[in-house]
Amino acid sequence: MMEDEELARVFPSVSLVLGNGRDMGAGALFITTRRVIWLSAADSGLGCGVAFTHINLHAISTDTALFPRACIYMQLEAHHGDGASTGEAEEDDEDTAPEVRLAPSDANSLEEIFKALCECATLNPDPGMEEDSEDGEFFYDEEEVAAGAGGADRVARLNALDALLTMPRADQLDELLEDDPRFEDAEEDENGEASDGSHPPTPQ
Amino acid sequence: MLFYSYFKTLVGKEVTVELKNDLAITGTLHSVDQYLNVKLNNVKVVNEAKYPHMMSVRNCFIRGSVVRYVQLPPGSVDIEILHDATRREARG
Repeated sequence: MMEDEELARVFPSVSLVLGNGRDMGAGALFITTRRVIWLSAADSGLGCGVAFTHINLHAISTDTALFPRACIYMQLEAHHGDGASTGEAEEDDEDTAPEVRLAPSDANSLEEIFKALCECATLNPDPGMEEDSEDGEFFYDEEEVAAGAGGADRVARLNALDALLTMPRADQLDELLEDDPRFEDAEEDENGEASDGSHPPTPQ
Repeated sequence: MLFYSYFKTLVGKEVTVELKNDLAITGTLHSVDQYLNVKLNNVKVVNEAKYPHMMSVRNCFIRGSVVRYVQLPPGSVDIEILHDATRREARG
């Protein structure tokens, strides 16, 4: 299992048919919160899986003229293949998306499989697709700030700024000034004039 | 947020969704979510020659990130509402 992956649904009797029409036979379909996995019933070493982020679309197909059984049709992202552990390369052209069919022995479960696929696909947005995400947003309008948008982020930034502004405490101030020549009294001569003569002469 | 809110107003209308792999699918918009994943009913594939298997499909779920364009029904485009929404979005 992948990180934070959970099993959502299992459909025990589903045939997998690859885009080239090759029927992989009956098996079990596992729909997790991250992937769709199929494991062959006949050959325990045969199985494949694809992440939801690589499934372009899925659909219910019922036209038996094109395919003998009602099935779930899936179009996968090109180049990623279906990750078949048989090691077989996808036969599709570069710009044609690989296709996969999932045909349950019980056609009544089609709607359920479709629904489970929809629900789990929604859990897997592509990075950067989060329209409402607060992460990575720098600016907020007043309403959002009032509602606490990006709160954690702002606190972190303010703390970073605070760290730059280290102010001495009151009891440290005298200590700091003590040895600093800039804060010493100017030396005065006997007439009370500043020794550097920068003050105007006192009227006599 | 603007697109999500706007597409929600098109539920029940016929739209054509163009995918980044050039597949174009026309159907009745059933639903759309915040990631712009789109569910279509009564699906028709515009370019059937390329994806002949899609002909047998009646409803489908399209991943938002693979959508390139959504063609809108001209009659359902309310310019006033869109103007207003884009202004609010820009101010936001």
